[in-house]
Amino acid sequence: MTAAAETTRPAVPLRPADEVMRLSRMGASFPTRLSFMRSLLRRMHRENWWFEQRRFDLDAQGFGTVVLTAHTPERAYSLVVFSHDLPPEKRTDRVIAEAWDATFSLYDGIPSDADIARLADNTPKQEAGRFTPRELVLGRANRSLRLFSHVTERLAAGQQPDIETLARVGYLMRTTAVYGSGKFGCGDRALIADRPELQGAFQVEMLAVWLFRWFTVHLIEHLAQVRGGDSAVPLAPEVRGFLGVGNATGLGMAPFLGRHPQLVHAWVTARETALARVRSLPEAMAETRAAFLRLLVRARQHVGEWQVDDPQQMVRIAGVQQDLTRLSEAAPGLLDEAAPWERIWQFGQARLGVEAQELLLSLLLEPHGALVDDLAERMHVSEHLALDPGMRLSELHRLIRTQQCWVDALPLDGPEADARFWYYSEEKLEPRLGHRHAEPGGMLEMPLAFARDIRSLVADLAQADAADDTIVAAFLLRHPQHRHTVRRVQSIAGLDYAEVRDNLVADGVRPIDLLRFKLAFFGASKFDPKSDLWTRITLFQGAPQPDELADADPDGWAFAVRPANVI
Amino acid sequence: MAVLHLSFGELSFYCCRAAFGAGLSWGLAEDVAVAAVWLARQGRDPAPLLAAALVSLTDGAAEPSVKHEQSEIGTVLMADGKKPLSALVSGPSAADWWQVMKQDPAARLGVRNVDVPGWVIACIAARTGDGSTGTRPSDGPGDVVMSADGSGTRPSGETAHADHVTVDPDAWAIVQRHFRLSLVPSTDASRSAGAGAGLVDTD
Repeated sequence: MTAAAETTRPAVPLRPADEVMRLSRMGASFPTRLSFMRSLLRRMHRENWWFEQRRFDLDAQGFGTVVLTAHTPERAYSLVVFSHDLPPEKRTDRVIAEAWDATFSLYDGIPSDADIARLADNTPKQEAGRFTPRELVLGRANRSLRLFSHVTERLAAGQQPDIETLARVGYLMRTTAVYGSGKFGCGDRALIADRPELQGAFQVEMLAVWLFRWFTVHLIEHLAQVRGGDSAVPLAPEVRGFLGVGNATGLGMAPFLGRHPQLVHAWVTARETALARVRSLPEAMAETRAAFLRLLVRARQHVGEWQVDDPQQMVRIAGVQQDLTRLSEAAPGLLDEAAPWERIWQFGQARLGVEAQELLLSLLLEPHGALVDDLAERMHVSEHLALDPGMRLSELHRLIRTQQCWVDALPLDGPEADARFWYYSEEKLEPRLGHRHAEPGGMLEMPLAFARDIRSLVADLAQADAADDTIVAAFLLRHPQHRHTVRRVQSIAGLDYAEVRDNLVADGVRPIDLLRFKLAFFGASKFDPKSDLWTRITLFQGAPQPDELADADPDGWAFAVRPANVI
Repeated sequence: MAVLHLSFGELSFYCCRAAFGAGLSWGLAEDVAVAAVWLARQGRDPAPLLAAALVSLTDGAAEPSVKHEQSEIGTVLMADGKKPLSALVSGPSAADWWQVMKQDPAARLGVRNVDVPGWVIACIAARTGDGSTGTRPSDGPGDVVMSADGSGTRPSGETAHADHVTVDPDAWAIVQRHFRLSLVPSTDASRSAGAGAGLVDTD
């Protein structure tokens, strides 16, 4: 923690979980400077990581193998990418896909030829391949058909891509799955948990995606060179920077949030503590004030460039634009008052919609790196959901009454309250959301109905507790169906932000609210919901490329805006 | 069948869902995963024990409900019927009780006529850390006895692997068979309603 942070104890309280952990607000989240890709770039810059292209074996069609290596002060990590010929009829972003334009593994170290040959036999198979603890991440991606050909043709002809076309998509390729943490034989998270260069959440996955973004630039410039020969030009630096990497995200992220309540609490606590620190500042330094106002201008442009097909999201975006206009008019005056950041926050509470309020949170943190960046180091915890079998039932009951009382406010009766169920399909284990009263499989649902399960537990506790204040061990002998819920209640005691305070199996539940919440913590932007079940996003848009990082501002890419027309 | 190496995360994922597929509650299934990973970290393949316990439970050879009694020898867990007690059901309960009792120097816990005693011991050890050396229990049904004075059945300690476990392919196939019971069959309707673009994406 910096000296500034140590001496700045928030005078204002953290926002209550009843406000923060509701789906309606979670689904309005924005990335902040504490997001995982932001903290990764800061660390890489601070520690002088360097990067190299160790292998580049692509044929004239762009098919072959590329190895890109990141060198940290102590270790190396290599992204091994296989670029494939993908028949059009096999192109899909779904989990059930079986072929992709590119597949990749992040290797722990520098791979030998034998390692690359082994990966060539397995990485393209994805879930059907087998991996070793030396592989830390597995992923795949497809080209954006809207943009890829356009950019190739323009570069081959010696021209930069059309900025309008570029801005509508924002990336050349989009990842459709990125697996870590021991999947398919890859190295477990525990293997790298103590490595200082990977402290924080999802750092190794973010590294893999960032290196893959670099690969997309190499690939497109290679194809342009093959087609255009001497006429071809590379991407202009500002265009390279503006290109992110896309991602299509579906239901798989929602069970993750359910399985990791302690981690979710750590993420939200860090963000909310950062907000409270900023709101507690008694005054605005001239430099910080200027940075905030500059960023506000950029955020307005960023939101103005945020175009999606979903009419509902477009209405929300239009609302944010109006709210930012309002904020822009008020901010200079508010910054002249005492406790200026709190004044601006309260203005947002009173005058802005939920989506703009969450964007304001991000804006407030942005110019206060020295005050809040230490919190990024607290966003990973060693999780342990432990049962306390000796706890008296009266104590368990008290714990629920005091800490999970939010359940009482939810409508949990009637068929609408448990209309949906989350499950793994036998088809490639694709996570799906079923209709309980119309489809088979409800008995095999994942344990994501925490509110319903709490209520059921309370009903049985009320009977048992009244009869005999015994211990949990005895209660669970008679009620083994509550074991998961009891362990969870005990494990999140005191962790206010651990649970989504909504009913995740209710009719009308929108999984994309959960997805956006998690993706914002990753650092994703340009949320592009395609239905209630899945969304496209852009990652690392505006961020330096690896060969630019040393001379770049690692934090200078928040709310990326498109470059002016480039010739 | 080829040798199969699994990460601990993968082992946990499959074992938990195999137990759920065998009919256990999520909470008990989570404890199955914990015991499996504990065994793996000791350098032991958990698949044979788990496979035996899964088959015993799903074939109806084991009792799925546990009874608790206090007797002159201490706390006893036993089947609520005549068949051997399922280790998958009783192991987590035995760990619960031992965790509560173990501070008492006179504590003694018995698990009577359990189908796979080694699994119960793994559950207790995974939770409480008690016992890393001693006699390995028999392969067939038998009793498990834990005693605070150090006597009784104890798990054996073996060399731990740092990053993976190698599982017996035949036993692992049984675990996988039960794992598949936790999955919902795909239908044309559920396939087309899944998250993501259409089955062919031209975007």
